[in-house]
Amino acid sequence: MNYNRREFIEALAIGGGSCLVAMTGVNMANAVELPGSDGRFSASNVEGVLSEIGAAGAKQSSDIKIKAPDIASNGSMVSVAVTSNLPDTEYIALIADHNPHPLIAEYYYSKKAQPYVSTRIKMAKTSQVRAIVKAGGQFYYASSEVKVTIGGCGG
Amino acid sequence: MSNTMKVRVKNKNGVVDVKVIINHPMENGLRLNPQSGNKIPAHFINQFIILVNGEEALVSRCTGGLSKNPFYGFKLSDMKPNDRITVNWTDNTGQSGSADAVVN
Repeated sequence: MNYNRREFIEALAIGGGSCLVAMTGVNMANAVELPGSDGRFSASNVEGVLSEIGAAGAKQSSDIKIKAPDIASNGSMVSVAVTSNLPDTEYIALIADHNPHPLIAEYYYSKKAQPYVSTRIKMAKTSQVRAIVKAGGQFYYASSEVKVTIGGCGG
Repeated sequence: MSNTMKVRVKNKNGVVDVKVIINHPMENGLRLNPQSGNKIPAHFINQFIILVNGEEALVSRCTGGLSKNPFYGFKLSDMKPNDRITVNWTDNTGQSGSADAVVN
């Protein structure tokens, strides 16, 4: 977690004590690092998302397991679970290739949290569901196709 | 809007399953109101954090691409009985919610 100058000064203004607590907080080994979100959530295609994340050269990996249905009758609620068996996984992003904004969610893991997520996503139409994983400073991905019979992104 | 959320934790030999459901519309801002034809304004959870005894264990940024009343399932390791799990969320309109659970 990074403080920019303004936030740092505001933190100082709030009180030296609380600032000190905050600083020791971020220095702990377990703290989760959260970079700026840039344009990754507003990107409208997968290539845009990957370049915003910095994962353009991600390698396909069979150590990432995606549990998703082959056919979803309702695109507004598709259950997806991702497990990464790659050592030192620190980040997982969920992408539905053909959604208006493909990046759905991203997860930053400390050592306390296992590299696993289970959630329910919206899908506009049939497409690949992709998991991007950052492990040991490298990006990897896996994908699984979900056929959607009724889209769930509206519009 | 209802701010209710449910947190369930289950301890299996130190690995704790955390399941969270939050009542939230998760409007992505792209849907049209069928009557008026206007876009329904975006209203979705954009940050979700799990703390263990006050320390961040997991941070998520999300969008209206998650389903309405979103479900989050995670696993935490090296957990002990009486560890306190706190779940915090905020949405794009500045609303927020928080709930606690204690490991059994």
